[in-house]
Amino acid sequence: MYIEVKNLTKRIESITILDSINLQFDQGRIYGLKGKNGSGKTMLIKAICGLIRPSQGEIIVDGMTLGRNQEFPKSVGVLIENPGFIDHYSGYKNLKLLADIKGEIGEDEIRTVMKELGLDPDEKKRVKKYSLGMKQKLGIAAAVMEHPKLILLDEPTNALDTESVEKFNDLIQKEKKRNAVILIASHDTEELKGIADQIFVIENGRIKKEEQL
Amino acid sequence: MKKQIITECKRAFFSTGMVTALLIGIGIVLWHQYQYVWNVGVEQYNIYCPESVFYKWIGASSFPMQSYLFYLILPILACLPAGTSYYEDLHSGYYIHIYTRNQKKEYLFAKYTAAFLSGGIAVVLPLVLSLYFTAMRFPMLAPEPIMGFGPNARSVGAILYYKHPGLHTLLFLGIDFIFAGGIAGITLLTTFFTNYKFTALITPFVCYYFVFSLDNLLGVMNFSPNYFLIPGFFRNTIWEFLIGILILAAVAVGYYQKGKRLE
Repeated sequence: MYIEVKNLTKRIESITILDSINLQFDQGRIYGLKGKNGSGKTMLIKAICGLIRPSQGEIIVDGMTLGRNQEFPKSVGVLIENPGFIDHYSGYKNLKLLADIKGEIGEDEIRTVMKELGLDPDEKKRVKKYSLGMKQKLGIAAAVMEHPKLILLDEPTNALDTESVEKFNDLIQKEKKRNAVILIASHDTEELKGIADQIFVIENGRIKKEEQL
Repeated sequence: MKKQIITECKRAFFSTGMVTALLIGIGIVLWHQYQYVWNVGVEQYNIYCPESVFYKWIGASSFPMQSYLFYLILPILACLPAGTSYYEDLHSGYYIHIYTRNQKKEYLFAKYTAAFLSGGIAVVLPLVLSLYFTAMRFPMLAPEPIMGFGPNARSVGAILYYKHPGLHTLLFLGIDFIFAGGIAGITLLTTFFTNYKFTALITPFVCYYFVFSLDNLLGVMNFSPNYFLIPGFFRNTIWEFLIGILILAAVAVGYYQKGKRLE
């Protein structure tokens, strides 16, 4: 998979959120997106996964332009901010419902990814009663369980303890070996340096710097 | 598509909103039964003709307080099961999981279908129960025009009412189902314009009550759904049904188009 962001600009009511962004992403690499709160990280991730349409420029995924040839990338897993779920279902049931949409994976894969992140698939507790960290893990599980070719994670380690961060890193390395394109947005430089192959710094909607690690 | 519809219907039919709507609706029906069916002697009013289920059930006329109340709060009953689930999905971010699995259009369609079906069931099920309970006590005799119940001669469906009242009742239950389902769809459209779940939920009732008040003010009662949805209402024309369905269809199209463009 190859992704190209060409001259991407997003304006909302005359305010420029993303300004002439040009980026390329290759498969089998982990990219970091570093920036302060409100710098445009989430908006860029939303644009790449097709949730918002650019005011100018284009996003090309495997030769197909989003919004023209296809609405969303064909194989994408996304975690944006606080992941939402059906509150009165268990974590496993929520993931099962999502997995059933495409029907690409079965119960075993869901159980495996939950266990890898430290969640118990047999737990009957409703998502409503989950802690912030557990909801975050469930969000990560929903994004990666179908082994998508493109994985976009916005502040994935929010509310995770040290042990869970390590488990997350292991999972992401596995997905990298599987040749997925992975983009992780965070405001924490140390977190990104430990995992990313390349880091982009975003400031006021513009890419300011690229760091090759 | 089918899986999405099943999922959304399950969410709607097994929600606390559905239980609440059914409890309120059936509660009103039982209150009506107690006052007008169970505690009334069969012979009490039969001055001219024998009593019939079609004079007695909750949809027989708008005169009993319980009938008036049931049809007044119809939009709330219809919207409780699934009306706010789209609001909840948008504000919690759940929709992102679905959209990025390339199911945007299917999801929007499934949401409307679930709201429509659950809204219809929440309103029609208590009405069917009322008909059933009343039929346990009163015979299903064709209504007599001399009794002064039911639609007048110029009202649409009057002939069907006096000749085949069962068919007339079934037809109206179908119409009530369609209107209740369509009204539940208004909440989905309102979701785009409000930041409060309660506003989304209550807007259909506010619109409904506005039409009801305006009709009473202008003295043209038949244009208020609070009246024309009652099977035994005395002066219906075809226009209120056509205009109502056109408005609800426009709401459904508006919701779908707005939902497709939403960022």
